[in-house]
Amino acid sequence: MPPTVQAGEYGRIVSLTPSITEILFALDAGDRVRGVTAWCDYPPEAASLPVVGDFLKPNMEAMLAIKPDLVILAATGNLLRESYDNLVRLDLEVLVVWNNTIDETFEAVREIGRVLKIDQDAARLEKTLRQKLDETKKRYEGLPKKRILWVMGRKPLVAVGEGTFQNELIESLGGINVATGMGAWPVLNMEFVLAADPEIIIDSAMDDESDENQWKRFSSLTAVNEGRIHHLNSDLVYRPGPRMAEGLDLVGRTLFPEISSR
Amino acid sequence: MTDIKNLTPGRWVTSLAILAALLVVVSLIAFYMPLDPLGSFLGRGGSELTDDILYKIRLPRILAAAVVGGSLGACGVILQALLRNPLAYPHILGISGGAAVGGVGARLFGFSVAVVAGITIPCGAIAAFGTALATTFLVYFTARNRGRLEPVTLILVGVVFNAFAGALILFLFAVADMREARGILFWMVGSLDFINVDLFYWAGTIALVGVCGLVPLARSLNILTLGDEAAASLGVHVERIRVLAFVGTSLIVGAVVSFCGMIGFVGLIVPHLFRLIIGTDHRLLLPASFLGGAAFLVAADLVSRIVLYPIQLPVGIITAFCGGPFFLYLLKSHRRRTLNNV
Repeated sequence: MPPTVQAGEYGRIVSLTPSITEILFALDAGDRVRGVTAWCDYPPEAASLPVVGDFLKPNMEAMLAIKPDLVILAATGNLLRESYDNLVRLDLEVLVVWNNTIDETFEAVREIGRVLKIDQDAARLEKTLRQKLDETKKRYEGLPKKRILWVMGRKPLVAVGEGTFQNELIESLGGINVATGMGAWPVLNMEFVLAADPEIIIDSAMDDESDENQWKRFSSLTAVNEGRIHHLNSDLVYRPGPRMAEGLDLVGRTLFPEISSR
Repeated sequence: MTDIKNLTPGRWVTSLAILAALLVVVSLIAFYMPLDPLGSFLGRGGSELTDDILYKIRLPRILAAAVVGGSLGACGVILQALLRNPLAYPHILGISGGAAVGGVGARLFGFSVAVVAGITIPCGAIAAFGTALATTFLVYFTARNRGRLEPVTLILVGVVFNAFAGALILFLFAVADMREARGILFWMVGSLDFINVDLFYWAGTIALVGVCGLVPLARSLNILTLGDEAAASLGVHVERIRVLAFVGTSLIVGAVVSFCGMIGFVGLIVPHLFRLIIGTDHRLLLPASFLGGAAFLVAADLVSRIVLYPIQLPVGIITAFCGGPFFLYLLKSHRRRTLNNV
């Protein structure tokens, strides 16, 4: 666990995670952000800020040139351990937050609020966000429970597993993820997919039609027979942040097209 | 050389028949294996699900494993003889690296497939095969010196090309989106799951035709291992054999890598394994390494898909895990023969 960061008047913030950048702007602290990653493209103002590398490989020199008084990064597994150590070695103040789930995201919002002394804005954001999430969930309530496979990569076949934001989106909508019990990002055997026989397949790794044809070869798959192979590739479902209610709605519209047309 | 004298038609037929039977048995086990190693799933039989699993997943996968394993085993034998180096393996000459650069590049620049007149064209694989061929010619013309293809120069040029291709792939990896990154890894470690079946039929045919075309070189390869001068004095066109063997193996390796990535270890271990077991006569060693490589990769792929079911392991991990210790055991128990006997 990294040490607790003291609250203070931080005015030169570098965000090393796209979802954190979105949270900072949603907290009206966007004017204090002085550096972002190459992938921080929302809100549009964030995209014009100086870039300090991508979030897996921050460039320490570009970082120091900004003279940040606070660096914020979201811990994704152990991916950022090295970055964190390097930043601390450079005597930078580093705030590490977790946002792998919806609850963790609210914790992250509160923590950022505390450190930036904008607790009230954080509380307000949390309240609106919770409201939006509840409203979205309500719209999809009481629908039949479907078995779902969410594919994140092909070659190898990587699925959304337990403890991920995407799994939470599925379960919030009453879906049953068939790829649970195997860790966060299981690499699956195609035979298992056929045996589990998901009713809906969300494929975020699909490039084009020919990728869809790869699924259509398997006529025993319920999802294939019912035409329920869906392409979904949007930052809304990859970033646990202020737009997660929109992400939830996007998954909802994908899983239950009949509802969204209502 | 005693092995070469010892090769009788009877021994040739028996050895290859045993290996072919082994390949068939391993393939049948892989085909009928229960889905879950602890369950008895396929007992249900005849359902659409069972048909999908057996004929749409396992059949192409086992065929692919056999063709890839066989091709890599055969190419390993030829390259070790051609380069007179026991450390040679199919991916050493930079051809695979070239193929991977083409495949990765096509994916990153967004033209991995195109649909022309309703027919889907796998541009990624074509790009991979194309860059493999281009690399072959680059390596060939760079390594050629005064009309001759010296093994030492060829291997040196190949290793440099491989390192260069590796750097290019790492460069693409560095600038790629994180979600594309796993796709790149596929080229580096290779995989037999989720293969594109149509593509496999094309690439597999090219590889098989290539291997059949190289089998007649076996006798000349025997003589090549004696050294250039001895070979020339025995009437072998050293240069012609070298060029044929080099271009042939490049074609095969390019075709194989373009649809399943760089599956390692088979092409290095299988030739040595059979050199230890059945001797150094290429007339037997070459087809034996083909059949043995095929059986080995089918078995390795079977293990990779059941050992942690439903988690799928990369087959390259299994080839290294199983092949490595077994090979060392063989080496230890066959002290009399040495690896330098290529």
